[in-house]
Parts: sequence; structure tokens; C-alpha cells
Amino acid sequence: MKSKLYAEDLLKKLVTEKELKILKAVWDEELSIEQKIDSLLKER
Amino acid sequence: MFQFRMSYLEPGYHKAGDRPFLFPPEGIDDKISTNLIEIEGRNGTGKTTLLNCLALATGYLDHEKDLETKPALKRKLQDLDKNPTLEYFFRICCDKPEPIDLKIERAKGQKPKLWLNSKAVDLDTINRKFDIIFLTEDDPKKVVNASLGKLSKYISELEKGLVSIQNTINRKLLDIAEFRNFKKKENNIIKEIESCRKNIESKRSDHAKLTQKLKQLEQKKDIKGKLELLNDEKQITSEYNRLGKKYDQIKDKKGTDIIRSLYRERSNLSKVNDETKRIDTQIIQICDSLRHYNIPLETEKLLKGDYAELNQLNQKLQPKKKEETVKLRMIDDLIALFNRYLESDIVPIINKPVRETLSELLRLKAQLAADRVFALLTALNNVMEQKKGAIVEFDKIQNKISALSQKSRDLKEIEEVQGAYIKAEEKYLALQVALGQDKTDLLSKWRELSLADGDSIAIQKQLNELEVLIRTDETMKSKYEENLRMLRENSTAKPKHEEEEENLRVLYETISKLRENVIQWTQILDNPELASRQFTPEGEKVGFGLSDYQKFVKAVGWYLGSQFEPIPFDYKLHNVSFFDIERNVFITVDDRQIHIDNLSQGQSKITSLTGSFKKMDPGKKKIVLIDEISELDPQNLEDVKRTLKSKLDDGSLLLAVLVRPSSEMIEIKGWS
Repeated sequence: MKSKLYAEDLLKKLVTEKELKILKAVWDEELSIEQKIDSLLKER
Repeated sequence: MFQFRMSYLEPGYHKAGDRPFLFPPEGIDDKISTNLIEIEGRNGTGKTTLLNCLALATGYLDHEKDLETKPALKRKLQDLDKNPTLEYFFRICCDKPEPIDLKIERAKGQKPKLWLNSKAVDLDTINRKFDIIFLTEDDPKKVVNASLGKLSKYISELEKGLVSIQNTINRKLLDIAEFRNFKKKENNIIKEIESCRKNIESKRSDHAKLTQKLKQLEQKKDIKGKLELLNDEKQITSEYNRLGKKYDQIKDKKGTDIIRSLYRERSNLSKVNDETKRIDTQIIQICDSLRHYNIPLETEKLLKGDYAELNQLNQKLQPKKKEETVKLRMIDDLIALFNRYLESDIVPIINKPVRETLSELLRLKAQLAADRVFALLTALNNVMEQKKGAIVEFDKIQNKISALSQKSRDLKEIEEVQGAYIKAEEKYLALQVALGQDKTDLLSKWRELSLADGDSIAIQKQLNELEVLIRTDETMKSKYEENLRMLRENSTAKPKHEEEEENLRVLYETISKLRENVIQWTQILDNPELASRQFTPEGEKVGFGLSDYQKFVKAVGWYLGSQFEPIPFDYKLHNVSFFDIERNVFITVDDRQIHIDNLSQGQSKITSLTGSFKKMDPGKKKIVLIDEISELDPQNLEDVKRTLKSKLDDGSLLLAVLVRPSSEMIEIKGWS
């Protein structure tokens, strides 16, 4: 089940945009780890 | 009387096949015969959810004004209301001042059904007749702790997710390194194979040069030999012819036959010798016998072939001997004659039968034979004759052996001649080959090769050594080729992200840094004061430093502040903008600082409760739900209970449910 990144407002203040994307990928339960890595590499 | 039952599945928590949350838990009675109820139990046993369900069932979501200050509660109730798995059953009965039987039931995925005194009603009816006072958990410390705990748990989960991705990236980087390593190994082996190939090529070239040189030397040697043969032509031809002739003369002598004949004759000689010895023995015996009749004969002389004494004796006894010999011969002839006739036939002249005549003849023969001296002499003569014959035979065989021995000696000469002849023939044949070539041409080639110099044996040795080295290099090359084949067979496929190694490394580093931050956040949330001691301005240079700590504390402060329910303090509700987790201080929107310890939970609840009763419509019966009254001191708790009891007694209260935490599992009891 895909769920919105919890406490995103807090995290925005603590991490860079790139790091936030990583955290979003981590939190996305719809993606496998392989897909998470692929998506993160694609954004680079 | 209060009866209660509820169950639901929590989205995101329950998995297929899990049992839903239940209240009351199995084994606890769902009915209690009082309307003043206190529920104690551990955190997470569903006490608060029961109150939430009861509030939802009795229409608390319509209490918008109350919920304005309780956004978290509002969200919880809305979530419950939307939950298709929620089902509950509540029944509240009382008989003072008039009988009331309120029943609310909700099946899974359906709207709730309500009955008042056995009559189906809607929620508006319930709202008109009853008021809900829901005092939720508003202990600031607990709220702060719960929020921080939830945040900490969430951040820990993020950290686990980061570890998982980090591990996968790490594996990928290792796979890439292994793949690259394979390429390196492959290149190294290819280089080794190429090196072996070059070595082999170089050595083969050297081998070819040496072979050419050796060939020239051998050719030179061959020409030299031929020229020498040509120079010695006459001598070689002459020698060949001479030896050929000699060989032809003796070649028929078969060495094998000679040896065999020699053996046979020697055997014969031995036999004759044995026979001579036997004869000599007889001579000795006969002479010994004659000596008994005073006829002495010297045996030694006889044995040496001296017949003088024997001849004298023969002459002396000759007449008698001759006469008796004739007689004996005649008797023998007559016996032989009469044996051809029947025994009964009559012999003419004497007119006697053959039988009788034969008998007479045999008797006469016996008489003649009985002359021992005569017999011995006859025997001696016979034996001496035999000896003569043996001597002759012996000499004859000896002559043969002598001849054969000569032939045997000749045989060695044959071998020598044959060897010399073969050599001469070889030389002669080589000469014929040399004669078949043009001498001028040979001399020309000789001049060409005169400069060719070297030791052909040494060159041959070098060639052998080169061949060994070439074979070694070829073996090495073959091994390397085999290794390469195996390496390629065992090699892994090109890793998926092989071309993105740098990006993977950057991502890995980013995650690594992020993870370190996340770990620090968790530690700060667990114990901000303890965490703060780690960070000093000096330690800011490397990793998570003081500025990062301050940044986090500030961000969390704003985050919590924005979420916090208004706090009651100094008889007013204060909207919170920031919570200082280091000092446990609320900063209000009007920039007031309220320390968490200054807030009294008990005071707050009892104030709210009494205030609610005052503000609410006295014509409506009250349903009071109080969550988390743990912080009430005994006096305040007694005040709350006394107030509620009096309200029940005066008929303004239908039901009061108090929930408080304890170390016990669940205990549901009433008070009066």
C-alpha cells in the first residue's frame, strides 16, 4: 500500500531535495528495492 | 447497565488472516451492571479505542466546536467511521428518573442502527436527547512523549529502509567490482597467451635458422665424403672386389652345420671309447681265466696292442684248433640241416631217426664246447678283433673331429671377411652414388659451403633444447587458454548497473550520510538532553555536528508545535507554535513559554468536566467519556468520581466511562 511520506514537512527542513527523494523512495511500499534504486538513479 | 462490544482491523497494521482488534478481550465480560465504569489496562489494549467508538456511535463527530481544538481526535474518529471492518454493539440502560434503553449497533460496512427504548431512531434524535462529554488524553507530557515516540519509531523505520537500499547498492558495487576483476584477469591471461605465442614464434624462428645451418653442415660433410670417395675410387673398387671374391669362397660354410657335426662326432668318439674300455675289461677277464689253465698271457701287452704272446699261443694250438673248428662247424651245419626235417624221419646211411641224430649231434657239440681253453682262446681272439676294430673307429672319428675343428676356426674368418666385405660394399655403393654426380658440380657446391662453419653436434643439441623450450611454451599457452576458457565460462553476466557505477557510489554515499543523520535523529528523539552533550562547537567539523543537532531540534519543535492541541493554562487555552524538546517548554503563538511541568492534567480534566456540565443543556442526559486520567491525584480523582456520581443520582448522567492506564491487562469495574 503506497502511503504518503509521514512528517514530510519536518523532513523537508532537515534534508536536501535529493535526500528527500531517497526517503520518499524508501517509504514507497509499492516499489521493490530494485525499482527504488532504478528510480533514484534515473533522477540523477 | 452497560454492554459493549467492538472489533475492527487497523489498515496498514493488520495482514490477511490476522485477528481483528477486539474489546473487551476474550474472557472479559462485555456487560457490567452499573453506569459508572472505570477501565484500567495496559497501553494498547484498546481502552481509548472503545471510548472513540462509543463517541462515534453517539454522534460526537457532530460536535464540531469541540473537535476544532482536537484535530487529532477528529482524525481518529473519521478514520474509524470510514473503516469498513468496524463493528460494534453498545447498550446503555438506566431506570432513573425514567427508564432508558439505548442500543446502538453497527455491522461491518454498514451504517449504525440505533434504538431508544426498543424504537429505532436516528442520530439526530440521540443528539437531541443526549450530550457527549469526551475528555480526551490531554496530558501534555504524555502527548509529547507519544508524539516523540511515534516520530522516533518512524525515523527508525526510515533508517531500516535506508539500510536495505544501502546493502543492495553495496552488493551491486561488489558485483561490478567482481565483473571488472574478471575483465582484468581475462586481460592478464590474454597477455600471457600472447607472450607465449611470441616466445614460440621467436624460438621457432631460431630453430629454423639452426636447422638450415645444420643442413648446410651435413651437406658439406656429405660432399666432402663423396669427394674423398671419388679420390679413392680405385682402392675402394679393388678392395670391394677382393673381399667379394673371398667371401664367395667361404660363404657356403654353414657355421651351424659344423658345430652340429662336431658335437655328433665327439659323442661318437665317447661311445667308441666306452666300447674300447668294455673290450679291455673282457680281455682282462679272459686272460685271468686262461691263467687258471696255466696259460699266462700279459694282459698289459694285449691291451697296448701287443699280439706277440697271443699269436704264439694260436700257432701252438692251431692244428687242434683247426680240426675241432671244422668239426664244430660241420655239427652246426648238420643240426641246421636236420632241423628242417621231422624228428621221426630216418637219416640215410646211419638209419637212425632225425630226433636221435640231432640228440647225438648236440651231445658232440657240447663235448667240443666243453674244451675251455679252446673256448677262451677263441673268445680272446674275437675280443682282440673287436679291439682292433674299435681302435680303427676311434682313429677315424678323431680325424673327423680334427677336420671339423679346422672348419670351425675357418668360421670366424668368415665373419671377419663378411664384416669387411659389407663395409667395402657400403663404401663401394656410396662411391657409385658419388660417381653418379657431377664432380664439377660437387666441387662448386663445396666452394659454396666452405664458409659454413660450426659443430653440428652442438647445433643439434641447441635444436633439441629449443624444441624442449617450444614444447614448454606451447604447454603453458595451452594452460592459459584453458584457464581463459574456464574463466569465461564461470564469469557472471554483466551487472545491470555496471555503467552507472559512479552514480551508484554517489547514491551510496548520499544514503550513507543520510543514514548517519537519521541515526542521530533517533538518538536525539530518545533523549534530547543526553544527545546534546555529544555536540560541541569543536566537533562540528566532521559528520553530524552541533549545527545539525540544533537544526533538527528546531525542526521537530515547529513540527510538534503545529500538531499540538491547545493547552489549558492559567484558565485559558493556548495555541502552541513550538515545543522545545530540550527544555520541555511550549512556546505559544503569542510567544509565551509554558513549561510542561506547569500544566496539571487533573486540574485540566476536572475543570473541563465541571465546565461542561455547566455549559451544557441541563435537559439533556450526559454521556461522559474520560480518557487517560492517570495523572489525576487521588483527591482530584475522588472529585471527578463524586461529581459524576451526583450527576447520575440527579438524573443528568446516563453513563460515565473512565479509562486509566495500569500494569494489569484489563480490569473493568464500577464505582458508586
